[in-house]
Amino acid sequence: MTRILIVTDSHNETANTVVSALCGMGVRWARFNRAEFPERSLAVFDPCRPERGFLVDEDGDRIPLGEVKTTWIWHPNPFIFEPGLSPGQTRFLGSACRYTYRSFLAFLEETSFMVNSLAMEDRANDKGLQLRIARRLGLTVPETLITNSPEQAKAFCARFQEVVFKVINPPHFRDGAQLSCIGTSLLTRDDLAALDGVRHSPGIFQNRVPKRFDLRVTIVGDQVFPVAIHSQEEPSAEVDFRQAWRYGIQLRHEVHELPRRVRSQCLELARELGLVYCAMDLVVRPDGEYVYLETNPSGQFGWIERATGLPIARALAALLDEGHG
Amino acid sequence: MHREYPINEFFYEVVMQSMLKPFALRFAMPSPPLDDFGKWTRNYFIKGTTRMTGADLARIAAGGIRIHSFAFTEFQYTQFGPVPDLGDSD
Repeated sequence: MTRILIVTDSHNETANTVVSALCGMGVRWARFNRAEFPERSLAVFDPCRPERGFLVDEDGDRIPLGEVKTTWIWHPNPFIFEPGLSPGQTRFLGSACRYTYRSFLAFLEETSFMVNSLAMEDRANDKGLQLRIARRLGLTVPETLITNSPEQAKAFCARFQEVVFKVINPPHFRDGAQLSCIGTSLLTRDDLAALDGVRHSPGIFQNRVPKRFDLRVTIVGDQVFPVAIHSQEEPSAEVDFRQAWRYGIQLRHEVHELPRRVRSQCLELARELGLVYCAMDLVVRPDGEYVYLETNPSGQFGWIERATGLPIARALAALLDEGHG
Repeated sequence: MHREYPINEFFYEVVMQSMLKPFALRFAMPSPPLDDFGKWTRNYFIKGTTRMTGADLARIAAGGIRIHSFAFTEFQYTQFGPVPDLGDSD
């Protein structure tokens, strides 16, 4: 008897769409809510004897690890500790939990099909590597500089009429209760005058690519789901289409047919990055050229499915059930 | 008028302030204040994208839901106390 283990949290709506698909397929599954670890759930494993390992989820259900044929990791929330600990104690326990969690997942990676492989996803998060492979595969990529050198950044910016800046790391950060996000930004004259600050914060500079529309390409196994996002119809979304959501604006989405060559290149890029699931961001220029921007190994797809009706959750459920990429 | 700085004060007030202007932080966009978060999420989620209820939103405003991050398209949080859950297949 086998089942699929979903490492996420109870409220993840996108995970729930896959759960619904699994239920429709009659596939057994279980959820490991990382935010409930360590206080309300248990992980027990003998690293040398997989058959002895088990999980106890927050409902008290025992899940033998030997039954897990596929592990799907989908945006799990941070660990939560009982209140009353000092910041130092919390950091220490957080470290203990992270190490346990990583060891647990590494164990599962050896005994089950994992979406995505931990090591591959870590590697694939390198935006420089993504661009290098994409270019080698023949995809057009923007001129790019990754640096913390103000002089080099200035020289790069001087080469182009318009330059965008984006961070190389996850774009969210928390300061106390305040959450912030850094999107892709078009550099203004004021920004160019402040380039000395690059010394303190390395990032990615790229020439601005003119757009007919943005393209989100979601890859599930060998299936490709390309969707045009008509970002140029809304000023706030011209540079970074995600900005439209800040203002509650719904952009027009449309299923797009990729040229066979670009489709193959995207699949090959995912394969070289070692990803069985990912979401790629491309741009279609006004002249029709496809330009690759980046790959998100855990890129969201719920909004794409809602906007277009593409059966991505069902495809992902099938991939998890098949147990191989 | 020239001001005499003790060395530490000089370092932090003058040197650090002039240096610590990380470029990336120029583009940081804060999430809506917590008081507005319910309204913001209501606007977003009312489009039928989640099972979040009015009671959930009230708990966000009351601080009963810990918000971990919000992407533009998804919303990551943990709710303390009883949670609606699809359970598992057993």
